[in-house]
Amino acid sequence: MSPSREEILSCIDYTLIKPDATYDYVKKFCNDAITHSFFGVAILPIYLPIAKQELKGSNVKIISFVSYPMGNNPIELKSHTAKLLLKEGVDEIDMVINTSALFSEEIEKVKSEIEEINRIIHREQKLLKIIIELPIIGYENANKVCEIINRAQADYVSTSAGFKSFKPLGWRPVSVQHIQFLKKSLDSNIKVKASGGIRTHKQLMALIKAGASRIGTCSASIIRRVK
Amino acid sequence: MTAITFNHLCKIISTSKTGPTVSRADVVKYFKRWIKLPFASFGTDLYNLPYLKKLLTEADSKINIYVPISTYPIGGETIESKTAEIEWAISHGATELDCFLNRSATKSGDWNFVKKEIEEIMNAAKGRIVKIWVEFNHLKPSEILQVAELSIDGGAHFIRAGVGFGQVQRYSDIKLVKDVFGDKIKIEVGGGVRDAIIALNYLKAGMDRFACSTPENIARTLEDAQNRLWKNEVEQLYKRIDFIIKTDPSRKRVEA
Repeated sequence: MSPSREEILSCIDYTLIKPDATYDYVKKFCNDAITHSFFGVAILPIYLPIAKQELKGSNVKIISFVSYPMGNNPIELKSHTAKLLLKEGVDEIDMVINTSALFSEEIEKVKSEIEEINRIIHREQKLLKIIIELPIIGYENANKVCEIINRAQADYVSTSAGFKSFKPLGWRPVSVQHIQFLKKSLDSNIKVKASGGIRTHKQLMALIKAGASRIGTCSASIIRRVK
Repeated sequence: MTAITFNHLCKIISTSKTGPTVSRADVVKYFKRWIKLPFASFGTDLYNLPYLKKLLTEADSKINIYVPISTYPIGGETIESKTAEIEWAISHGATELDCFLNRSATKSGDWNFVKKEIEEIMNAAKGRIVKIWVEFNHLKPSEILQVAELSIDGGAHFIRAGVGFGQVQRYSDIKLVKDVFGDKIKIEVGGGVRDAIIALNYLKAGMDRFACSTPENIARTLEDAQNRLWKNEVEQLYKRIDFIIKTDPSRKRVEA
């Protein structure tokens, strides 16, 4: 059975990642999320003060990022930012893993950052999504990272930061294969967020059908055709 | 006849190795290649900073190290995160801090916020070289001048124009800042300087430094670039480079 319109809208993280949106644009963006009953807005930390104001009293959750879009910040700084975001009242945090550590064969650094941030966020009973940049790191590396995430019991794995300029490095829009791979590699209680390059209704439906529980997209128009 | 050599031009080039797929080994390999030349600075991300620092220390090199502050290449972090990054970077050997401004504030004309942010950055930098980083292409000329004025008032050393990834800065924007503020602030062009022809054109417009991740292309095209100019133009640019080097605040540390 196909998911209902409400079910689809309630899995959308409406995403704002361009860094130079005006205050008015951010306000409108937040109000669009309310109008469409999206699950939440996923926004850069600089937009939090406006989003908190605009979304007060609504059901739309606030999601922000740690070390976006390049996860190469050291663990001390990632923890610091995560704590600041929690203090600001975010409901969920999407953290990009340190892919350079992975390519430097320092997977233990990736392990400690995932464990540490997970601890900080779960202490406040909030949710952690781990952005693993699957198209860039490849399936072999992703397998190792999934093992770490299974052990740490993070809440979600997100496929990609969706930063298109990383295309020469292997970035691609999220695919059904990515979702199927993660569903297979992760414990059943860890959910999958599809993100990066989701622009059409067809993509959206295929990703949900493949098992994505959350969709990150900056394109509100893709829900126009959702019945 | 005066000619600009690559060794000379190097002194106004910042070169960097960074990216989500760049490993520690890549960073070491890249900078080993350039370490003997007198570059203005070497740059990498915060993860690779300690490894770059170690490499330079072992080679007894005083080349400056710069890092992006506020998570390259978006710059979406709050002031509190930025100041923490600056402190961490300084304690791990960074001597130049390329700090993204809150570009939502600049686009919204919230100049009080921008002023405060520059103040906080300068306080955290404790005398290190600060470059205020914006994308000129996303700003109107009036906004560029406002950012430049606040950067000068705040005591920043450079404005860095451009985040790379294919963004090319307009010569007219560089010239505008220089026409209005002269040498009160230095301008680094960040990204898009793919060969020496482009580099010399930016120099003519008033650029003081440029970031480049393919210095070999600059070296390869430098002679050709000069052949395209009149002799007196080359002489003028040579003198300009000399002036830039002599007045570069980053060099004080290197020459000390």
